[in-house]
Amino acid sequence: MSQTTSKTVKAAGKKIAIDIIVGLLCVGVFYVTHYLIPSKASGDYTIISSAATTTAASTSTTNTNTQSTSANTSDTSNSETTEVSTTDVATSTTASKVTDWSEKFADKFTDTVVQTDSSYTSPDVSITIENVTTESGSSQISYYVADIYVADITCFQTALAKDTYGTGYKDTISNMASDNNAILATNGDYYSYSNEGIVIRNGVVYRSAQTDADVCVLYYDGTMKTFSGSEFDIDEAINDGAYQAWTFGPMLLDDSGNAITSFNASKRLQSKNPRTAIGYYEPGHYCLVTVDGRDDDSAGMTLTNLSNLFEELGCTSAYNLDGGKSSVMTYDGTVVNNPVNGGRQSSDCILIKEVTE
Amino acid sequence: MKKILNQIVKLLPHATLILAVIFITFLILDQYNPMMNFVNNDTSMKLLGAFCILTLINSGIVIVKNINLE
Repeated sequence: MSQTTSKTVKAAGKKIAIDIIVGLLCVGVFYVTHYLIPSKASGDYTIISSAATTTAASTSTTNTNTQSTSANTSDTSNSETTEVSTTDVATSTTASKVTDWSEKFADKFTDTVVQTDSSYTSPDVSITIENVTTESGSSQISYYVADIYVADITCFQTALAKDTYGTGYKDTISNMASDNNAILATNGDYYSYSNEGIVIRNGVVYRSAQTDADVCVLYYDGTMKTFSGSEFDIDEAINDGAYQAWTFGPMLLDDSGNAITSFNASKRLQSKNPRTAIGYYEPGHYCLVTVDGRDDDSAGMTLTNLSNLFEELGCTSAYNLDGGKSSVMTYDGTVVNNPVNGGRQSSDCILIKEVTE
Repeated sequence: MKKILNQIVKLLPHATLILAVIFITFLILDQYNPMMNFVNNDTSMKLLGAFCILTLINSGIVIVKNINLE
């Protein structure tokens, strides 16, 4: 009797094991077809022009609230739907100059290009990269802060891997930076790892499917705001002149620019990790932070650490981007930080570049 | 006809088990990387629907079998 039972259990176990393997294979097939095989998305995208924000930008002061109010009250319809390629986008955004902070940050810029191992200044761009190491032993953290001033918002751009919007398109940050003549580049939000979430790049709305995740929007007038998924309104963002929008998060500072302790992210994601984040001081002045992690020399940062860092830096708004192995910062064609296992390819990146008229 | 039906009834638990494995894997992956949206996408929703229908049919079959045994 027991022998028969044992045989039955063995036979059933075999069948269940086969089912489990088939199930896992199905997951593999799903992953490959949905995330790995390059698939170009349809080409009808909304292009956001900078027209509606011109008034706000021309009256811009250091008070960001004043600017956002100006943008909000704008009732000009400033979007159109058309088929574009990412190359077209670069051309159209280059043409739409609505902001000029060259006088405001005159002391940051130089008449000619002056470049060192950790800084770059020109008539339009100023970048200073600082490598900071805090604490010691197993808690040691190494991070890089790129302090950025731009004379024009179009010097702050984003790029898509293989110059194509879709799923499965990936490239290294170094390659994307080199293809786009970027001075500085970091990874973005890895938009292609999901079919949902707001994706606005260089003034083109590629995806408008909202999620619960926090959203970060950089406007043509140079202001940057973070929103919770529930309070974000894509139409309002388009009317206000959204230039870039990322969906990853969470936001790292409250409305007053103070550090926060409660984040819209699971506990697991809040633990020590390599990080990439963007900070905003005022129109034309931003910072990109890359934190090394999962390494003997740097343990990585929790979201609380990162939030405190941006408060210390004096940012008024900050947003966490894709991290982990994706965290890469390049300057002048060289990877600045120490990405985990050399980093990984990403679907998009943030670029600071010279824009020739 | 009865043979085919028997075959389908035999295959149903395997299909349910496979879908259960898929969803357990999706849930684990979702814990590590919710941005990848393994659980909430259109395909997953369709699979979830199929899983529910299969579970209903399987449960019905098991209940009927139990009644017959009693």
